[in-house]
Order: sequence, then structure tokens, then C-alpha cells
Amino acid sequence: MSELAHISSLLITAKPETLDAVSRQIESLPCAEVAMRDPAGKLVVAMETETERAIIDALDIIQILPGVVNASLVFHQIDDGQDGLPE
Amino acid sequence: MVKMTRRAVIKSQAIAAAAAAAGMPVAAQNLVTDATLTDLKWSKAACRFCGTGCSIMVATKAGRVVATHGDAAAEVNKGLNCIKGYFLSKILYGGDRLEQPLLRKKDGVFDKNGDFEPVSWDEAFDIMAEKWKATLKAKGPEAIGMFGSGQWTVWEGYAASKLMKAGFRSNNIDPNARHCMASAVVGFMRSFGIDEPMGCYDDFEHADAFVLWGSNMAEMHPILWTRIADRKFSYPHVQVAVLSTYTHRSFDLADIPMVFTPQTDMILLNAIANYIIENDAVNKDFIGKHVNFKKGVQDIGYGLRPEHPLQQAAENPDSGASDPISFEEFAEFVKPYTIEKAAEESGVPAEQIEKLAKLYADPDTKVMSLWTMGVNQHTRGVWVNNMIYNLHLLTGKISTPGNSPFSLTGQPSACGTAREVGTFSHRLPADMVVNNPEHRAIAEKIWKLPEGTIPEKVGAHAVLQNRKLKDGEINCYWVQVNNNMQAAPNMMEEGLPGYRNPENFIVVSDAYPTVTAQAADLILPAAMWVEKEGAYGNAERRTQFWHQLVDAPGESRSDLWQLMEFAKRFKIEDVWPQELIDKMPEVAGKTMYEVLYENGNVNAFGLDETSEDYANDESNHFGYYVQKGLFEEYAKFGRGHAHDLAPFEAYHEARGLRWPVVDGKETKWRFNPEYDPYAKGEGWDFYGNKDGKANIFALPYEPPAEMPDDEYPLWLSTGRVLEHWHSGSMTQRVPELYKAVPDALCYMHPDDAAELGVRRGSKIRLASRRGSIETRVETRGRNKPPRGLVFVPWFDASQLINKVTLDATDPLSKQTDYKKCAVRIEAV
Repeated sequence: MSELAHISSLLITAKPETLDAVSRQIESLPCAEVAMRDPAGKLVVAMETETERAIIDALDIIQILPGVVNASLVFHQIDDGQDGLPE
Repeated sequence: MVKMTRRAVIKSQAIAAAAAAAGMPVAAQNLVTDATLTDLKWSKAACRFCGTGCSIMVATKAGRVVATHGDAAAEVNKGLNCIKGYFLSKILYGGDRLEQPLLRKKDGVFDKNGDFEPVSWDEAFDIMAEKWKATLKAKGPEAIGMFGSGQWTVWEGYAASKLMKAGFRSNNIDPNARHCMASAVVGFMRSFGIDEPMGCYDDFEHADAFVLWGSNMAEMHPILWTRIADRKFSYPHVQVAVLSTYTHRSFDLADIPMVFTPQTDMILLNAIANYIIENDAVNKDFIGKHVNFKKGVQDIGYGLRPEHPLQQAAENPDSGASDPISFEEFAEFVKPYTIEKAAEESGVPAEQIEKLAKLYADPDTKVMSLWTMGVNQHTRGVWVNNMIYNLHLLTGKISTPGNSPFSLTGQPSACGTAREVGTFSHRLPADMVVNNPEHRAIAEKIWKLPEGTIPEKVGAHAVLQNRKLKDGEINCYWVQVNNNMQAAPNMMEEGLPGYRNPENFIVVSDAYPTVTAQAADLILPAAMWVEKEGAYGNAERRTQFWHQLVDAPGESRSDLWQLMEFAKRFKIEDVWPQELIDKMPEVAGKTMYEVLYENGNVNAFGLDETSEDYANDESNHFGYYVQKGLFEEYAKFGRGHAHDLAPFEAYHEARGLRWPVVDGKETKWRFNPEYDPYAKGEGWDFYGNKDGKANIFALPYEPPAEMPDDEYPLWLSTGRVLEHWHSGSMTQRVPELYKAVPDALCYMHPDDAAELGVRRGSKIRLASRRGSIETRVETRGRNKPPRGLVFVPWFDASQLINKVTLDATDPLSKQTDYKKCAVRIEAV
């Protein structure tokens, strides 16, 4: 079977006028995609990484982007790829 | 193929969870807790870390905590979770977790200079009881002490307080909340006659302006900071003022950034009060009906040892006395504190100070003031608390949605346990105090104990306990859930000599071999967090419960079990004088455990009332629902006295409730009859004080205990960073957090570094008159001190900054000032 995948989501709070720039920089990370966005200053970021460490590294990078107020991890699940879909 | 689809499903869940937390519309919500997909058992728990009180969903599988996520049903955090909270599951599983008692031994017997060897619980309690009994016999109860925590669960703190104050009859019990909240407590008592904030977190969604007095919420309270950011981004008129002695991450959001010289917060506060008066912004109707003016005595010393020259020079050491004055006299008192003077003394430009003053003065701007350690860890911390309330009281901006002087907390149950239960050396539950005979009588009645059981003398507070250990006046000492050797100030001159004093026997209950545990004689392995049923109370008066979700490893046991089991080792005759026993002959021959805990209250509820879905090790051990019995006995103190707690079961259902809970309804804004059933009449009722009025205090600027000079030319401030919580005894065991900020650094201005001939990354020695540490320079980090000040976080056990700090305290609250002392730095 294939390796583990860590699937997680982040909620980013950022100054509204910086959302474009912040989104672009997040999209440039290999493991992250901006899934949703609220012009009042929120971004939902989905991540798929090989390790938990990679989540933290991405979080570290995102936390200090100009305009970012806070980055919260909301969800994290390790998928071992072993099981099928639920009934 | 299946795998890809499954991952896509999980990913859509992840997105849905985050969107739900953001309040964005999504089709399916709360899929996270869908057990059919994940095969996990999800339960709620209050976060183990700071005083925010986030509710966390905890997943267990095969007896282990495997995942956590923010609880979308929780009002506090609305599904969010900060980086510390996210890794909660890992704090239980550090590689060096303690799993059996360890005693210092040589040749098979206890030896203070021996090495730690594993022993049984029986042997551990045998030696403990032997030491305690010998000390009681030789010196009496005042030679026994205990140091607890705002991380104790509510019932652990309650059981400990009862054990010390009623069982051993010693008031030498104090929590580490003394280092954190004591100034806030005394501030509340002086201004309002009742502890804890009148408002709540709902104020975040109502305020027009937020003023951070010294707090770095972006890093220390990130979830609450997000609520402020949301408010500001959605309502562009909202302003944020950030005051600190150095620039930090919270300044990113500041409309009014203010870096001030240490201790000049007092000048700024008086200048704003003066501005309000001079610009006719006083709410005259409010102060006429609801406020008394008082002038506090001055020159009150620094809480140092009495022989210290600074103490000897003080005119009114440790005095909190005050005299009534008129509004006019108050106005006269603050008159010299002009904006210009404040600018000159604080280093903040006058126009910035005026902008801040206008926020308070403008009757249409609802202001929330927020503060934590910058104000509380201050040799005039109580005064500064009072002076912040002054601004809200002069303008009547209090106890209505959005108008809120709000004292934040650092520990998860600093409010719920340390303050409400009253684990301080002077306190009893529900704001009562040991030196009030009526209060003692109430406690003795609820506890079913003879009159005269609780001693009247206020016990030794945290800093005094260390001094008494060093001086050989406290000889038996039990520390639970905290790392005070690392946390307490002036470790080399006070803390360590006290623990290693050959006359003393030191017991430390902890889950990990902390600096404190290593300085002890006996280490007791503790169950932590969801390894036991627990309750915490957060900064907004919200009490939250959780169930035991997993078993504690090895032989580790909860603090509650340890306290109650140890009580069995004493006959009441071992701890009480005969004349006290004679007042209640039925206690004769009983154990202390039976007298305190099998009293018909604590053991009133059977095991049949415990949850079928969760284990409960303590209840199964003692044979009754221990947590419920302790909680219900404790709740008797507050019900009907403005501290009402809901029935026990309600808290296992709700995501916490804010007291007073009356007729099943929580209270959001106290003192306001519209929201608070205890408030009577119209407008406001500050019922904590007998006359229903709050107090405004005239208090001057007084200098700190130590200031930079030629020999020690720099200010040192200490504090925390986001990734680590307090002393790092838990967070440093999470590899991801440890790697993020592995070692503490000394943050300094690049020009100061250049002048010292050091660069970013250079190794330096940082020294005060008391001790020194070696660390490295950081000139580019998130914390940017002004010239003349350096900042060192204190989480790192390998770089103990408290070797350097001064044990000066606020003379009224006895809380240490960790934010100001004088140091010098040299390249190594």
C-alpha cells in the first residue's frame, strides 16, 4: 500500500486588503491550496502532506506572512489508505 | 481508486470543518465527528493550556488520545484551535513520562543526597507521612506547606484546600496563580469587593475599541485575538490600541501602537484620567450614583524581605489603606499628569496618548480594555488594575455589552480553581477569607467541622513559602501541577536553597521530570488532563467539565487520588489538638480522610451516578462519585451568594456556563440589572461592596524596585512565546513545538547589539545582581525591543532566566514583577 497522507485544514485570519497576496503565497506552497475565502478576512486552506512535520512547517511560514493575524489548524486526519469508503 | 476517493472525502470534510469555524456557509457541517467514517470516539474537554478556555473535541481509539480539534459547538473558540491546543493529544505521551513514585535513596533508605529510585505508593506515602507527623509534632502546622496550581481541576484544588486548611490546619497553601493573577484579584476586591470580570467574551463582538495594556494577545491568546480581528475587519470603525514595553506581533493590528518605558503605564493611566476630567467627559450621573472616590496610601515598598534596604526605606510597607476623598480632590490629584508629562516620561508621542485618551473619553465609543501579565506582574500591579478601572468608572463604560475592563488569565483554571475555590493562603471559597471569623464559621459549617478548625492567620504566599523553606521554617512541602523551581523568581538565592535545605522534605507531583521535580526528595507520578474527570473555570467565569477519556500510564494517579489517599495516613489525633476534637467527639479515632471526605457530603453520591460511557478511576477507588460529591459540597459556598454554580450534571452537557448561574441561566454582564439577577435597582449595582458602589482610587506613579544604571544598563522583561506554554514542561515534549522554537533567545535592538559587539546568533552572558544565564542574541525575531530593553522568554529549562530576575513583588498582591529588572550583557 502507499504511504500515509496527512490531510488537514487551516483557517487563516488576515487583513482583508492582503487576502490576494496571502492567497498567492499560500498557493505557492507545494502542499497547500486555498479552498474558500471570505472577503472579511478569512481563508480556508486545505493541505495534504506526507508528514505531520510538514503541516507545522507550512503553518510557520503562513503565520509570519505579512497581513496574517492568526492561522489555526482546524482539522487533521491521518489517512493510511487501508480502508474503503464507509457504508 | 478507492483510496483517492476516500482522500477526497476526507479533504472535503477538512474544508467543511474550517469553513464552519469561519462561519462560512457549507453544505454539510460537523462531519468531523462522524464516527462511522473515522472509527474514533469523540468527546469534549476543556483545553489544558491557557485561560481562554477553548473547548476541544478529543478522539480516542484503543485507549489512546489520537486526535483533537476545535469544538464547533463552543462559544469560546467556535471550532478554532491554536497551535498548542492542536497538539494537546501529544502532551500525554512524552517519552519521559513519569510512571512510578521516585524517592531519593542511598543504601536502600531515604537520603536527601541520594539518587532517585523507584518505590511503591505505600513506601512513598510511608516516608511522607513520617516526615509530616514528625514536623507537626516538633513545630506544628505552620511548618507544613503546599504549592498548587491554576491547573488543578476544581475538585483537586478544593480537596487540597480542605486538606491543608481544615485537615492539617495550615493556611500555607498557595497556587502558582499567585505569579499570574494575584494583582488582578486584589484589584477586583479593592474596586468592586468581588473577584473576576463583570463582562465576558461576548464583549469582543460589541466593542468599538480594544486597548491592550501590556498584553500580547496575538501570541498568548490567539483565539481571542482572532475574535478581535474578525470584529475589526467586519467593522472598519473599530480601533485597536496596543501598549507594551517592546513591539510584538499584536502591533500588526494596532491603529494606535505605543511602546512605553517600563513602569510609566501608571503615568499614562493617570494622564488619561486627567484628560477625561479636563475635557468634560466624566459621566457625572454615573459617578454620582455608583462610585466612591478614595485616596490610597503611598510609598508601600516592594514586597522584599523586611531587612532589604528598599523595604526599610518605605513609609507604608505593604499597606493597602485608603481614605475617602471627593471627586474634586481626585481631579486635583491627577491634574499634574498632563499628556505632555506622560509623553515625556513614557517616550510615547503626545498625539498617540491623546488618541488613546479619546477612545475612553468619547461617550459613543465602547471600550474593552485587556491585560494580563504586563499589568499583574508589576510591583504596583494592584494599583494599575485599579487605575484601569478608574477610566471605565469615570466614564461609566462598564458592565454593558462592549464596555468592559477585562482581566485575561494565563492558566486554564486560575479563575475556576485558584480564585473561586480559594486555594490562596488567605482565601476560602466564594471570595471569603480566613481572617474573617464569619467566613471561617461558614466554611466550618459546610464542612461539618468544629468551630475553630480553620486557623485565622493568613498563610505564606508563594514567594514567602520559598523564603520560609530557605529559612527552615517550612519543612514539609508538597508541590502539585506546577514547575515552581523554574517559575519562581530569584531561583539561586531563594528557590533552590529552600528545596535543598537539609531540614526540608520536598514532594513534587508531576507527569514529567521538571526542574522542580528534580529538585525534590520524592516525586509522585501524576495523571493529567483527560486521564481523569475534570473541571476548569476560564477567564469569563465559564465553568467547563470533561470526562476521563483514557487511563493514566503505569502507576500514575491523579492529584485528587493522591490528596485523599494521603489523608488516610493520619488519625485526626495526629493533626488536631485534643480541645478541638472535644468539641466534636464523634471524630475521635477517625482518619483525617474520613473526617474531611466521608462526611456525608463528599460521599453523598453513589457510583450508579457516574457515566456508563466513561471510566472514573478515583470514584471506583473510593467507592462513591468523588468529583460530584466534592463539587456539590463546594457549590454550597456560592449558591445564593452571587457565585451560583449549576447542578453538576449540567456541565457535562453544556460547553460551559458562566456564573452566577441562576435558575439554569448564566450571567453575561454582572452588576447590570438587565443581565444579572443579583443586581437590583436601575442602571448599575456594584453589589460586591456593601454600599453598592465601585471605588475609584487616587494613586500616584512610584518607581520600580530596580532600574537600569551604569553597572546594569538594560531593562530585562520576561514572558512567553506562542508555541510554548509557561515553563514548557508539556509543550517541550511535543517535537513539533520544540522544533518551532527550540531554545529561548534574548531579543534585543540591533543597535544595542552592535554597541555590545554582538550579532544575531552570538552567544552572550546575561547577568543581574542575582545570577546569570548564557543564551543567544536575536535581533530580527517577532519581538522587537526598543533600545535599552531586552526580552527573554522563560519556557526553556536549559536557560533558566529566573536565576536573573528579582523577587520584588507587589506589596498588596504578593505577585512577582517578572517584567522589570536591571541586567548587563557581555559576549561569551
